[in-house]
Amino acid sequence: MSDLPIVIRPDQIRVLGEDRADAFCVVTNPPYVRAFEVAASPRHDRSMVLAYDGTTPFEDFIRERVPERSHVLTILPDCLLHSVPADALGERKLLIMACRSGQTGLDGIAHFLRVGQLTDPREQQAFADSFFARGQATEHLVLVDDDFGTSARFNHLDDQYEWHEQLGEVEWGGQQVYPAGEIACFLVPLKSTDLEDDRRFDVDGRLALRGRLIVQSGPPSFLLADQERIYRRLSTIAESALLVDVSGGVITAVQPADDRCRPAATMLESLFEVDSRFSQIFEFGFAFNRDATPWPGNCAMNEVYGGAHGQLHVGLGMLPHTQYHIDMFLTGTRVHGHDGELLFGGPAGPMARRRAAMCPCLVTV
Amino acid sequence: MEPVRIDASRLTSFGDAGESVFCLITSPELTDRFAVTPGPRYGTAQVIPFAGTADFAEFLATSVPQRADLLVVLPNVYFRSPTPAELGPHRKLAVMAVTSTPSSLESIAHFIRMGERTDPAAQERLADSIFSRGRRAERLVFVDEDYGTSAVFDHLAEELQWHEQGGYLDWGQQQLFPSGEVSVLPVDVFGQDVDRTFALDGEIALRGCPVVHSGTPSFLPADQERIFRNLASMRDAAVVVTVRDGVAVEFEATGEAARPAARTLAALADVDSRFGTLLEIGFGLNTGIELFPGNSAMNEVYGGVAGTIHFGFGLIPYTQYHIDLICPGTRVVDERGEPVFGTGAAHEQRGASA
Repeated sequence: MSDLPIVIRPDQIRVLGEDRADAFCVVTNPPYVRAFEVAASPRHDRSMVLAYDGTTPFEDFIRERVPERSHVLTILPDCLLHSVPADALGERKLLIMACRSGQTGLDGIAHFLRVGQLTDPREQQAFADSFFARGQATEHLVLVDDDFGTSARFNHLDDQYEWHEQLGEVEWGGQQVYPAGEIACFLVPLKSTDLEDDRRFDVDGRLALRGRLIVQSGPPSFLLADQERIYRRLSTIAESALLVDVSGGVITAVQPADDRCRPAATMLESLFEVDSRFSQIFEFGFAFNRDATPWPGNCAMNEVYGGAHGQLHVGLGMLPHTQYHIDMFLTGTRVHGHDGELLFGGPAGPMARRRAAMCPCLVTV
Repeated sequence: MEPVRIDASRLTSFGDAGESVFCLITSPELTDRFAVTPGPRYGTAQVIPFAGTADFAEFLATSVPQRADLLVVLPNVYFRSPTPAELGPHRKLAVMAVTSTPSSLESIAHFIRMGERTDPAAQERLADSIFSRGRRAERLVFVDEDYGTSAVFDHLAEELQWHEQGGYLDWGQQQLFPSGEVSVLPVDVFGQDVDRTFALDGEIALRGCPVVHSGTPSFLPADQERIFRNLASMRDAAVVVTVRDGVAVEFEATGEAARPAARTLAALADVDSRFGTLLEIGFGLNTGIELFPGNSAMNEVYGGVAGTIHFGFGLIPYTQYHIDLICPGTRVVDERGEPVFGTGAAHEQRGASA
């Protein structure tokens, strides 16, 4: 990639809303400080690029180095960043680029900065409101892939499930992944200390895992080469599909639709063999960033990629307990209500309509 | 179950008792499950509870006599070995490995008896023999005649790390209980990356008894048990592992019976390549013990009749498990075929797993 710095334009980051801030701060690891330049912004009195080396708790860094009443964008490829406690965040807005868990380079970061500028938070908010309204009105969800003839029933109204939204405009004191665009239903609280209980998603049937995936690393020790190898093997679902039988929220059988994704089947079975928690679905992710285009390779920021109609993914394993959290997309799976109403997803079909901002000639920084 | 009887004087690994008090340090809920007597070598024996809520070094300083032989049995407590300064110059410490695998009171009782049968003098002779024969050999060769396998090991490489857990404890020292192992690693035991491997090439027949130790990373006990059960299928038939530069490149079951073990070993290496690297060669020196059924860390020192080899995969505390595969059918010879260690007589394996 070019040696020129990546220019970040704060006034084009619409998820920050329209109110003014005292400062716009980019927080990055020391090797990348010169890789970013912040353009002048009428909504910010000043801007700065701050270096964070990960040796001190991030909440301390926020308190001590980042001005109050500022907008903060973290780009930390060398640090695993956890969410910041509300009392430490204070009156700031925090955006987090997930560039560590999937090992994303500067070119990928530049790509998702462009995606972030295209992302319309109000459109996402409207979509989410509609999704929740219709989701709450239906008795259960039916996950259907017509191409592979799979279907599963998900009783999604259990009070214990945790629904998280990464979308819309960020309020003061709020934080969000950047770019945003996902509603995630988790089986357990995100910082749960116990995965040994009997809690399972109430989902049964057959799913077609196909399309993209992300092998996200967390605190447990791992080797980068292993993460990359696991990703490559599982990536063969891009060419075909893995048909998985799910019983009580647990994958009980894996069948490659054809030989092309046999490496993915073998890899998934190895993961199940070593740690049975990889066979358990811990997350249903509803990605709906229509402005995102996927970045090649194992990139955590692809998680919000929704295409034209939204894309479903399942999360296997749960950080920080398992060595990885694996998001596997179900491209082509549509989500219906109990009465057959289409709630989410769907094939693009011919002449799929896209917003003008998706035109490649407009995708510039 | 009857209280576990410990006759302190029969635990000869502690060596000279001097003026020491014998102390059993165990969890509060287990203190009445032991009946400890000092025997003729000690004046006094105590059972001291340790709940694990305080730092062990602080506990040593405040609750344990300065002159003491300590046997630590803490199945439910995370135990960190004290530094020499924390232990002090007038104490000896023996630790039962009861946390990395499930440990019932029955297994603890079994290994207390095995500790009584442990002959530290014989261990020292066997360890001396390994090092003296080893230094004379240009190469060590691991041979299993039943399966026709052999692997050649450059054991003289200077970067190798040799560790001993055997013989008599001296003042200020600590070791496992029951003791009896010489081990060699290609990397620092606390290193996260497998940046060096053994210069080891050939085929090794993995046949015998596994131990699946859990480490610091999160795991499910049910998974640990399942992995152990699968690996235990190598008791009935060998898994032949092909090793290149210390890395397993293929696991092949020699019979249907060993297929679960081969599959599990391959899966472990598939998910975390550190499981595919041979990270420990252990020389089990304890010729007095019988194997305890099931997944027991204390089986690791099993020495059979004249010493038994085990091979270790995985790097605790970084990998989810460390897996020891005890192979009584393997013997060690030098480049001329002269015996160095073990008899290779798998049929002489003693204990419930035999």
